[in-house]
Amino acid sequence: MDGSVLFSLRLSLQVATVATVLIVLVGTGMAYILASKNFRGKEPLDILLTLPLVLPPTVTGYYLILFMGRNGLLGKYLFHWTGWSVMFTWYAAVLASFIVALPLMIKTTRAAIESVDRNLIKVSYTLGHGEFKTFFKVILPLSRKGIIAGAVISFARAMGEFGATLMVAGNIPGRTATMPIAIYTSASSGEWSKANMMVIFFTLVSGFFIYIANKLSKRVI
Amino acid sequence: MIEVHIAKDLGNFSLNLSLSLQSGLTVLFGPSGSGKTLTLHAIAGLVEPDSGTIHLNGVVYFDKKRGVNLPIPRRRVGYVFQEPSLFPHMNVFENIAYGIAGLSSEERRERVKYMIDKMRLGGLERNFPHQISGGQKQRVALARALVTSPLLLLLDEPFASLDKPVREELRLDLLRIREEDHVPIVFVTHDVEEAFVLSDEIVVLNEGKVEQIGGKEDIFYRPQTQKIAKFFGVKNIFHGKIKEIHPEEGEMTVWVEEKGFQSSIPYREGAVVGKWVHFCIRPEEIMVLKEDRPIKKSLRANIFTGKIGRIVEKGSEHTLFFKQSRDDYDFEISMPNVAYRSLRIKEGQLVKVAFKWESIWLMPEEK
Repeated sequence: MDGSVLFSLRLSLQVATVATVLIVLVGTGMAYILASKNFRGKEPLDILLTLPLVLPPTVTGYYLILFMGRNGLLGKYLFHWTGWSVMFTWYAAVLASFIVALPLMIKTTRAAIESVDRNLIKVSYTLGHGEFKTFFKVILPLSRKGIIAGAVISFARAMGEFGATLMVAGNIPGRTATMPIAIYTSASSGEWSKANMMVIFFTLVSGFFIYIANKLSKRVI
Repeated sequence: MIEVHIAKDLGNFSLNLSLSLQSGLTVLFGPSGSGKTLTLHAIAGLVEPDSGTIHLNGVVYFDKKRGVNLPIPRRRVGYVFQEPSLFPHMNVFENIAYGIAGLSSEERRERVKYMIDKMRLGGLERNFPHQISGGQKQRVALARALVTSPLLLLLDEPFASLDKPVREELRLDLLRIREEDHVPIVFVTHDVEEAFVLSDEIVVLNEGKVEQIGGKEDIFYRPQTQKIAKFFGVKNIFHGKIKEIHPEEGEMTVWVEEKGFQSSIPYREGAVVGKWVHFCIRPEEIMVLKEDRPIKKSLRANIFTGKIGRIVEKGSEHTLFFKQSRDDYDFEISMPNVAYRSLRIKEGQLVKVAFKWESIWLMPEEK
């Protein structure tokens, strides 16, 4: 098998894993806040967080450039202080996957958290446990299934991210060419056998991960 | 002990309460929607009133004006809900131990074991909530709340969904807790029998307000309003106009227009001829007179002749509907089966009934 194919596979898995870890941490937190708190600006926040789900990945990618590009709203400070930009690195690929898959995690996790019996939370409070302890001892264990399901979906989405990734990470062989991008390149340059191999491999690997994750979430009560 | 003076407006319902509860078991009684659960929630801190104060043992739990609202975990108020609400992902032991997680594992194990023995849950420590019965679940819920040595225990109709024998068992458990643990208890119910069995004091709530507070005899035999009388099973509530007054003899005569009878009832200060009064008598306090027995003087003024209409058997007692002349019934009489059988009454039979003088209750003027 081609070295570049192996590289693409490894990179895709790496990007998806890192992105998923961040997604689970941030997503669970955000889902809890949306599920249990009421504050001004909650509706707009919800809409903002859902947008990447419906916007074309190229639009999301465009916004990412606006923010994180070398002259971007945040990117320029980053460059000014460190002389480094996130653009065209694998970190950008992680960022793109993160933004694009986060809404999926939030939606799934929020539903799981909202399905926890409210009385159990009230009971926990009356038994002397504050919000923090209640979250970890009651809410989290009881919404585990939803969180894992969210993580699986997010991982799958992150693995398959293409449009936004291409815009911010580019298509640099050996550096930022994730598998979906590599497949695109091979197909557009007529390297059919290479493309075929990658497509089959990618499908099998993705399918395998979903299978594992489903098994995991079934074992959890 | 516990002082509650709060108000809360929820659109089509408003709560407006002033309560002072001592230790012992207080029953909060009232129909659905009267604000009982809301009151418990306010005391526990699950709901914030719009105004007022709540004090427990002199400590301010809530004071709207001073901006005090003690967070729920700091109130040390145990709460048992109507549905057991046990943590499904923890076994019985872990559920009970939940509130004392901060103690050493030694002490925790000891305290939990004590509760398990006390609540007759031995052998179930490793079981999960879905593996135990409804009655066992509520005992776990009780143990879980008690193990934390709460300053106050609130129970919201905890036995409502259980079978009668299980309910009665649990009532005894609760009375035992009251005796042994000396924790003040507030118990919400709309079951009259339960209120009677458990209470040291009853607070009757209706439409967000306190209607009456008193011991069970007070509420049962001397209800302050018609509503309370009805809740507690008084079926014979009459409205009559005063015809004659005899203050020296402590009685007055009233004419009950709608039923067409005259009755002699206890005199009340300030009564004048022509005024309307309400009085009532419990179904068990109307006697069916036996032919051969001499009639007591105190009954003579309130003897009525008529027919027995319908007779309904209600388990351990019989209810008889008595009418004088009209189509509808005038009095509802109830008696234990023993008495019924010895009287040998049949439907349509002509009988004489009498009101027990001590049992006639003249209700206070309303509003």
